[in-house]
Amino acid sequence: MLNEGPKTPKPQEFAESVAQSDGYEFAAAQTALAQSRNPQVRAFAERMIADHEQTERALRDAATASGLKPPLAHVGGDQASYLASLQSLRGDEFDREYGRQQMLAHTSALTQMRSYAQKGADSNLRRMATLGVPIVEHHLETARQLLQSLM
Amino acid sequence: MSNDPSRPPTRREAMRGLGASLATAPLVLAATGAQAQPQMQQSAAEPRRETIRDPRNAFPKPPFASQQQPWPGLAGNMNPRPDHGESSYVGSGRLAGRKALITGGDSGMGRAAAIAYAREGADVAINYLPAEEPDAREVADLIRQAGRKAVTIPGDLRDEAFCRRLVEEAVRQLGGLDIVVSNAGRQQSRSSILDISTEDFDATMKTNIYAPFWIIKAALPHLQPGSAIIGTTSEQAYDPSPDLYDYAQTKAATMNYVKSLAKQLGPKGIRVNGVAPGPVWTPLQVSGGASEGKVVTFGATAPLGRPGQPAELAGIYVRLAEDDGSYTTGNIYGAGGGQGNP
Repeated sequence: MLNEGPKTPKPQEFAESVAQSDGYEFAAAQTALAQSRNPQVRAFAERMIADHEQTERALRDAATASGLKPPLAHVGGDQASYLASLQSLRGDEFDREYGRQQMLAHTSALTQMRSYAQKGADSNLRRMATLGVPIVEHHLETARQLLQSLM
Repeated sequence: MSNDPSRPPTRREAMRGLGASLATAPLVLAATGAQAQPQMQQSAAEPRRETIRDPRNAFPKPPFASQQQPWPGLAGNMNPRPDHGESSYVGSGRLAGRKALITGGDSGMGRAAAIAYAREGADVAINYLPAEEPDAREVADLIRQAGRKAVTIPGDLRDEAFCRRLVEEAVRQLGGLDIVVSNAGRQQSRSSILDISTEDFDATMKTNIYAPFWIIKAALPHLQPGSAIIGTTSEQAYDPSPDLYDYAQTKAATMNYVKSLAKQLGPKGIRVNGVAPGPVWTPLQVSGGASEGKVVTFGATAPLGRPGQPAELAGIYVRLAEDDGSYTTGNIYGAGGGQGNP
């Protein structure tokens, strides 16, 4: 059957995209802790590691409850190029790029979370997304403030 | 021609238009205004641009509003609306008297090429899907405002008989044909090969590979030495995204047919080239070509930090069609935003 137009992700697809988002956040935050001396950037990175460890757990629980393969956090797709450009920068340039990427990555994540919370097919993942929306909103707001303070 | 109210804008008028659009962007103005003012006077030589433009800030940057449209989508319903050079492209007779057929000429790169070709003096036939009529009407009006003939031929390129009719109709209404831009494409993001049905795969192959084959075959008997064939390929031909399994391989095929046909048709005096866009802000992306999450940050990972606008590729389509590019054949010209290919 011909199947054209925008799609709501299937449960496994949505779970994979959340796991990719977690994977990128971990890798970017670890890069920031290794390469940045800015206290605000470092505090934001530490917060991301702590919060995304929780997201990862919530995702694993929801996926398992729905009989899905629990996806492992990993860096994929577009986020690989985010990371590559981040890892090549130092100093203020690194901090600004980290802030810019955090603002953009959380914009993407929020769009996906909101959409799944409304339209997703799997009830456990939908609940996880609903609970995730305010957390991602808060991350996005903090990322915006971080970026502002670095400009 | 200069008294014709429908003539294209002169460079000076286009610059005035640019000034007006800058006035609506206080941030840009505040950043450049103080230094830029004294240089705004016209010099006798009238340079191409009075000010140098930073490519990072020349067009909208992500994040964008979340948006989705049913396939195939309309440029007119996108936010922000893509820029196809409607108010900026200024011609100088580089394609005077030429006759062009452009598939997918209603939006995206095809529309940018159609506007530019008309303002460079060519008559233009565009093909598009019936659902894209609102976009196509705007393009036809722009072609006519440039003082050129506009021919609109809606129809689905997956049908071989339609492809043949398309070429015959274009030749008949234009009174010949010497530029063929095979640009229309189908792109649908699927994260797994398991989600691509045979019908989906077939639709992508028919639109992106068979249609150029049928159209070029039908057009060839009409093409005199000096004619040009241009295919729209993609950065995807070289560095495919995981969710574009079917689309990306059709773009690799396009890159390849450009090279084989250039060898075949060089001895007949017909040039064949390709254009490889990076991430460009077109309806293809918001009608299933990219995931919702990718649309809101579209182009963010490009080193220029934003997607390309179709207008930024118009000059490439002109270059590959015009006589001045007479030694360019079998080549792929890119506008990749820094992502590296071709």
